[in-house]
Amino acid sequence: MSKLLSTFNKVSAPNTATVLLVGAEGTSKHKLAEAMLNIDTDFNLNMLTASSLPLPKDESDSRPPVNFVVFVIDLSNVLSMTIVESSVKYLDVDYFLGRCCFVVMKAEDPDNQNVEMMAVTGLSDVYQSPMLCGDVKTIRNCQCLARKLLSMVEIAGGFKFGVTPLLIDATRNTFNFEEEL
Amino acid sequence: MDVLFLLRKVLNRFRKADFEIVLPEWGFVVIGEEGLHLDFNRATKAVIVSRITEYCKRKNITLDDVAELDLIYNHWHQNNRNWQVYRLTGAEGMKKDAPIVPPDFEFTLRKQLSFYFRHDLHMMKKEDWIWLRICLKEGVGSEFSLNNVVYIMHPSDSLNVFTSTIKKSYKQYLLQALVLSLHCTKIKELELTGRHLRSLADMVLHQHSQGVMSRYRYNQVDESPLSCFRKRKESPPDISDDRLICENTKEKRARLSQTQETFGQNKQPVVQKLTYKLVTGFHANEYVPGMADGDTNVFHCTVKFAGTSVIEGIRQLGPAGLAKLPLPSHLGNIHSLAKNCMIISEGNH
Repeated sequence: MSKLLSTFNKVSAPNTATVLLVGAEGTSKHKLAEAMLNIDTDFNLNMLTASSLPLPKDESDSRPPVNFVVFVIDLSNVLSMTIVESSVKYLDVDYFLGRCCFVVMKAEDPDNQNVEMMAVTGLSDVYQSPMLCGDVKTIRNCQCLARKLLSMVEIAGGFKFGVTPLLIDATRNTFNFEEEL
Repeated sequence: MDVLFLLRKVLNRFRKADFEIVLPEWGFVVIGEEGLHLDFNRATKAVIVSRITEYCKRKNITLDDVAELDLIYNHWHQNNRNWQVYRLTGAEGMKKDAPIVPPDFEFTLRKQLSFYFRHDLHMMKKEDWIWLRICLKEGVGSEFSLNNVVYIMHPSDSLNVFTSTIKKSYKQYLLQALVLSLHCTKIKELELTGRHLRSLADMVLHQHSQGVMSRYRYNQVDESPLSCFRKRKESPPDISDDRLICENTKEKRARLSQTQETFGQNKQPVVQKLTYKLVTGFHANEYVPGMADGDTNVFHCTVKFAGTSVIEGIRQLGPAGLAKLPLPSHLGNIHSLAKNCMIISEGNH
């Protein structure tokens, strides 16, 4: 039980949001994190990167509570998919109501894909969380992806008046990846 | 087809920037002499080549001089050619008493080769490495073409020979001549080929000091523990932003140190291809039931790694997260095997 990542265990510092990026080595998490930090925001942003969950034990208890979790999957790396699949199970249920997101990298290159896109969309269906496709190759695309994520982080951090993550999740356009019977 | 045609061909192979260094080394052309004005900055390569050709025509250039120029070209651009490595054995006591003296070697080799071919032999010694150019003459006018030329490199202190590709029909005779002129009894073709000659030589001559042991060869052990260069090399690059916290720095450092333990911190030898040939039976019968009765037959399979520097690529697999560390020993020791092509067969076959 103590291994689960929970968002309501601690009180976070005022006007701060913390984002956790989970993904295998080589999925350009750091580039994405730096892009997100470079965007000007009204609130303070902290980024944590991890290569899998559960996170290593927090000795000094200084880790801030995480508002938003992003799982990064690289379609050319099968290991990244297995890591994400096993890491999702260590997340507390609170995160699946609008505080979690899957990001898919290298989706535009079908020749080098080793992970089935159906598997990723299946994952997104099962956990009822949004899925974004993007890449960090060009600065422009990287910033675009960072801005999309930041808009979700802003809501998850409670910085938008009258909008909660649950509202977004309930009114989200689901694409119904499951096949119609 | 004459000397000037061959000269022009060889000169055209050089880059314009090479001429300033190569021409003095060659020695036949004296830049700045009466009648030869070369402005390397403003003239095009074609103009420079035609001026040099005219000058050489006036000086009555011979085929030997052109051959020497060709050998110099191959020394400069040695990485454009595919090299094959051979190891000689059986030099009983001969090496210790009398090291190979280049003129004697040339004389003996010329004599040995003359038993089998009509040929032209040229030799050049560069920093302890002996370079040979053997032009095998087949028919009329074949000495003016670069088709049947074999380039050989021999490090004078070792019993290894590196050759460019040799025609199959000439191979055994050429190797026999080499064996006899180097006073050995046998020559063995190693399973090592590549383009980067220095790396091949490195792998063969320093086979037991690759990977981690290379730091002794490069004398990197006696650094003062207080020097700040050393500290900077050991840790992974620090992230500049304090708002970005990496939870897995310990694992990253462990991965880097594991890679460093296997491969060392120096540059790895450059090979372009790594081939594994499997000469085994078919063992995946549960996936392909139709092949069940073919177990005794050999199922040939080849796995090839290709790229600009395969060993460096394998070394980067761990830190990039594409492979689980520690790497299996056949990949981790690849720098010390002195082999490019590995044949895996079953014991009972």
